Amino acid sequence: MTYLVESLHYPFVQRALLCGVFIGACCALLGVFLVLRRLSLIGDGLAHVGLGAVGLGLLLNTQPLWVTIPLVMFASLWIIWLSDKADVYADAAIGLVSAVSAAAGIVMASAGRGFNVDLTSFLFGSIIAISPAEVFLSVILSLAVIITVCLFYNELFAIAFEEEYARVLGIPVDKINKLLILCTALTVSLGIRIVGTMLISSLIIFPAVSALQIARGFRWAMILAVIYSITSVALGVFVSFALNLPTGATIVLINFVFFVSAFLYRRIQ
Amino acid sequence: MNIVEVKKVCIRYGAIEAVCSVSLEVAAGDYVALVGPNGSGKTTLLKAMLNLLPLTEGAISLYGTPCRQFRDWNKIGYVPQVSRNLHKGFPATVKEIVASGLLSTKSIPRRISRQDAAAVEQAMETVGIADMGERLIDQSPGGQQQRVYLARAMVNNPDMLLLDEPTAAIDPATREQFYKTLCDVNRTGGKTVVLISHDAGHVGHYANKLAYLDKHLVFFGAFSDFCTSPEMTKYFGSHIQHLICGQHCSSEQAK
Repeated sequence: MTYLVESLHYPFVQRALLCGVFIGACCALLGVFLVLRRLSLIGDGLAHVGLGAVGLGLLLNTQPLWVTIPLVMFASLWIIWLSDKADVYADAAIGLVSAVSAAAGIVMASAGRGFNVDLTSFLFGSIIAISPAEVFLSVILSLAVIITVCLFYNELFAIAFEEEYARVLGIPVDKINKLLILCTALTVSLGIRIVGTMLISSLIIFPAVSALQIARGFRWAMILAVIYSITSVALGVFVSFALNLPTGATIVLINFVFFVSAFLYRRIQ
Repeated sequence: MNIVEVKKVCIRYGAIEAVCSVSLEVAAGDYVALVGPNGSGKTTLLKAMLNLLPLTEGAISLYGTPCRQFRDWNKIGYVPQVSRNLHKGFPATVKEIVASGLLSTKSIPRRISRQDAAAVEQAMETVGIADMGERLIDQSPGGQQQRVYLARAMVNNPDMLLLDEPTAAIDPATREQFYKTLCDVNRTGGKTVVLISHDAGHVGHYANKLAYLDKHLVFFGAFSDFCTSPEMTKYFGSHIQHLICGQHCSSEQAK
């Protein structure tokens, strides 16, 4: 316990926790809607796009986050366009856009400074190395995502339950869908710094599926997912710091433990 | 006053014709049974009325407004065709589902207030699921689920209900109860009802008009006219016509 309190004195631990809690909350809130709509792998696809964007950022020798956010958001709209207008199935559109982006990113990173430490840190995350400016940007943008989800909670709920019925209610389904995907793109761009492109989709999927195992109502599912996510991020930071483990992977494994406990709890009930 | 006017509507999916040359009107207070065999275009026509499908030809108006421009969705309650396992694992309670029907009365961003709770309770009570509010939707039996969707369609007190085979997956006793509830809603509540069903004989107990669809409109008019129409005897054969109308007549006599 003393060790935990002591570790809180380190500025990099404070930054990791602050950033992780906000991005974790975003991932959980969006995750519930994405999982229920069978869109959970869009996080994985957009993370690959993120890798491509990081490659471009490294080639341009600029802060990767500035390149990642607009490019991942653009790619998310490209996925929607492909599945809506070009009659490509949504999962195929995700695969197509993510593969092209990741390949382009790797080529650019190689043309620039090669497959170096910087790119690897984005592959596996480096929450401990996050800068104060990145924390500031992450908190502000995460707040924007959280407020958006809260404002359009009822619309997102209605669409997740039955898209066609939501249209009959007069809900602008296409616009809300775009908003959901753009929020996901923003969250993925920010989350890459925490768990990396390889594992960001797990931060979207795990808290949601754990919550869905035991929730007794939709609001409860959202609240539980946020609790799971924030707890896993906080525990992950402390455990990885104490045991000198990679933080991103530790967060994912803690989420897996939460999922197994929720699954067993449901079976026992 | 006609609430729905369908004029020479054709809907095609590529080269496949779903419905064609369909014209009909639904007046306030009507109970219209839209019947026909599988693939006859019933659901297509209903979805077109709700502006969920584009028309290839013709026009549909709701309350005198072309359905493309229609915005008063709070006047219409819709019960879609829902398969039993569609919402498996969805964590919403019955109360949350019913409350979502109120969103058509709200403007962006749509909030459901504490005052709306009374409307939700009322709708649940009307369809006989007042004690199910906290139950999860996917843990409710098929018949109860249909009542939940009916409560959701009625929660904003619409003028008209459009129902797409709401009794397809439920047992005969529950189905009968569901039809009676719907009949009360029409006769006592004064709501217009358009109901799709495979079971012309059964809905004939309650509907005052029958629309028989088989890609084109075979018959549209009062149920009693359907039963006495020589054209319909020729189309269906006297045995089938008797099966459909026999139940209708017996229910009329019972009254």
